Amino acid sequence: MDGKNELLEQIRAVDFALIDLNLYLDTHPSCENALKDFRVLAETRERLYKQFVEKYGPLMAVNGATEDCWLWINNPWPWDTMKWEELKGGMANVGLRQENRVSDKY
Amino acid sequence: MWVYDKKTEYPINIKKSDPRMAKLILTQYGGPNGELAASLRYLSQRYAMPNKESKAILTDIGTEE
Repeated sequence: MDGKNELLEQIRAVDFALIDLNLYLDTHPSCENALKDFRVLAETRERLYKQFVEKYGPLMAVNGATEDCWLWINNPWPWDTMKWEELKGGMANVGLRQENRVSDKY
Repeated sequence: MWVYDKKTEYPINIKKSDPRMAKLILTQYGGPNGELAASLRYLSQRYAMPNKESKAILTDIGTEE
């Protein structure tokens, strides 16, 4: 796995745990263990997120602007991970053609 | 309000294309008993909640879905 995916995987894992803790804390707002875990993970997330954005570009639109460039619209989007060749066979059945994929031309 | 994060919440690894399964999954997302409908129900129900815990949990479950 390359560095980008590895880092994204870490962020994803931390975010997933944060979502779960968030829901738990909503109904257990004074649970000390959960509060501690949440604080630690939120800090970790902050650090990993920053690292990712500096190296590989924005994950959220709010980080999308540089001085002269709107990075947010750049690929990949989450659904851009498969190679087109792998999809082509099946996609022919639902009426999509390779030449329709505008995103590949830019 | 909705804020988009350019990543999935959980990793997906699609190994081959399967339009029939894709159709099923789309229905689970957007169909009459899908995630989208459920999330909007949570977000409507929260307005009738009597305490802060239940307002928060319905808001956050609706958001997560």
